[in-house]
Formats: sequence, C-alpha cells, structure tokens
Amino acid sequence: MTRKILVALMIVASGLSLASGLVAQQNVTIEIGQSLYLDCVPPGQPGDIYYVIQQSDIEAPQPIDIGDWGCNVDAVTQYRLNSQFTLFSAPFVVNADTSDFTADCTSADDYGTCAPNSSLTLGDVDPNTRRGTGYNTAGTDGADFFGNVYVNMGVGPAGWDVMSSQLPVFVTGIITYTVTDTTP
Amino acid sequence: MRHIKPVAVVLLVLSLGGVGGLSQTSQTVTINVNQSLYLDCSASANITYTVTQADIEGPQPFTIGTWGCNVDSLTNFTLSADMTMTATGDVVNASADDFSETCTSASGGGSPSCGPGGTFGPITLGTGGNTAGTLGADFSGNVRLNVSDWDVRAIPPTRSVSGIINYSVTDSTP
Repeated sequence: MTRKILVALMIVASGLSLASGLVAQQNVTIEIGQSLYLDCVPPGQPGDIYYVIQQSDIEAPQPIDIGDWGCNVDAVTQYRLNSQFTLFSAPFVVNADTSDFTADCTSADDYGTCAPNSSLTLGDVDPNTRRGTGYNTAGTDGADFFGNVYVNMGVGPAGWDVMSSQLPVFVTGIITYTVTDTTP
Repeated sequence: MRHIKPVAVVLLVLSLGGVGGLSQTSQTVTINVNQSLYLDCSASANITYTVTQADIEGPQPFTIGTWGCNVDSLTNFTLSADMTMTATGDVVNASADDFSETCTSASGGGSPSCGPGGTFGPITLGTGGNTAGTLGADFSGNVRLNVSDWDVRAIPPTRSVSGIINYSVTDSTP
C-alpha cells in the first residue's frame, strides 16, 4: 500500500517585526589630559639671547633690538600667550631693572593673533604681558608666534650706571612664556 | 496425438491507489522562523582614547579605535550605526558629528559589501543577503574623531567626552 505524504512548507515569521532590527552597543570615552602644548624653542625658531652692548647701541635710539623670540602653540581650546621675566640679576649695573626690557609680537599664524602689549616686567600681569591669543589649532602644525626683545638702557640719572671697576658686567634673566586656557 | 490447448494467461495488475479506491494519509510540516537576523558586534570593543599633541597636529579626523560586527541572516539586510553622546560638558562644541566610522572590510556569506559610513548619524556601514551555510557576514572598520571645533575647558582636572555607538541590522527586503 503506497502512502502519499503531503508536505506543507510554511514560513512564519513571528516575534521581531521585519521592519525593525537588532541592536548592539559600543561605549566610547575620549580623555583630554592636556589641551595646550607650548614650545618656545622649536626647530627654526630663536633660542636664548646673548647680546654684547656696542658703542653704536649706546648711541642709537632706545630701546634697541637685542634678539628674537618665537613660540609654537598646539591647542584644542582658546588661549592667551604671555611672557615676562621670572628671574633677573644685574649686580653691577645700577638702575637696571626688568622694566627696561620689552617685547613685541610681529607675526602669528593658524588662528593666532598678536597682542599689542609689550611688558616683560617681573611681577606684571595680563594683559600687559600678553604676546598673543588664539584658538583650536587641530589639523595644523600649531600657531607660530614671533617677535623681538628690546632693552632701554635709559638716559640721564635714571639710566643704567655700570660699575666700570667690575667690567665686564652681565645683566642676566629668564623670560618665562606661558599659555593659558581662556575658555569661558 | 494429443493437442495442447494454449491457455491465455491474463495478468491483471491491480495498482493500489489508482483511480478509485485510493487511500491517503498526510503529514504536515511547519517551519517556524522567529528571527531572520542575528547581530553580534562583540568584536567592537569599548574605546577609551587619550588625545595627544600628535593628534592635534595631525590631519583631522584621526582613528581612535575599531569596530566589527557579524551578521547571520535569512534575508537581505542593512547594517547601520548611530551615536548618542552621554557626557559633553567638559568640552564646548563636542557632539556626535565629530565622530565618524568607515567600513574597510566586508566578507563571508551573503555577498556582503561595505556602505559609505561617514559622520554620525545615522550611517550605513554595509549590506548583505542570506548567509545560510556560512558563519555569517563579517564587517569591520575604523572609528574616527575630529577635534577641530572643540574648546576644552580649563585643565586640570582631566576633561572627557563620552558616548555610545549603537549598531543595528534591519531587513531590507522590498
């Protein structure tokens, strides 16, 4: 006796709607330990200043240009760049002071802007000591700031009075550059 | 002389089940498919990334991690992703569209192919078809970040941005 077998194939989709799908998750955490990077002696930019006063410097209009400064800033925030003396010594030059020194900013790129202020005086504050400002530099090699350093040896009784018995004499100091986050 | 009379032999073959008199039984088979798509993105490990000076100086966006998903399917499908930010208070302008994904590999069953990816969201990472008989379709790629418009609040403390990337697979059968 032969039996015929009826096969019915039905596909029933139940449960999840065909219009929706399955979901998986991946957690992402981005940490920023430092939002500003400052390099004031990068390749190709000026380093320490060593200047010898000449007769022509004494004769020239004051202040005189004694050297350059330059800084590169990498930032993921808005910032200001300042500089001023943090150490100074002139034991054999009467009236020599950090207020005799000034700096300007002559160029800035990659969203950096020069500030007009020029003070390098030890203990002075922003904005007097501000060299420039800037914003996020991501995707660039950073904002490059350049400028000059000047000294005014003064004139008359308030000017420098070098103790000639101590020649050669040295006026030394350290200019410290700082970059500060200015995000409100 | 004896005559042998031929005897006609008629063979009647009776076919059981023929016309008339047929006897039948039946067996019903039902296949139940509760789920036509299975998504496994366990290859997409959680990402914790510290932005470096080189990342800031380098081209934007930059790679912060990878993702990978496997799809088992009895239907045509689309693999998608989107991102939800969970903490952005430390960084002004941080948002999901600073993050992006690319699909760099699609292999396995169902003729998978990479989608365009892009910035979140949502974005299409890949497509494929029926993968039966294989270990499924494997998709993978990179997770990327662009910090060009970020304004990070003063450090210390260390600042952070966090979010969740959601992967989904949907039936694209017309």
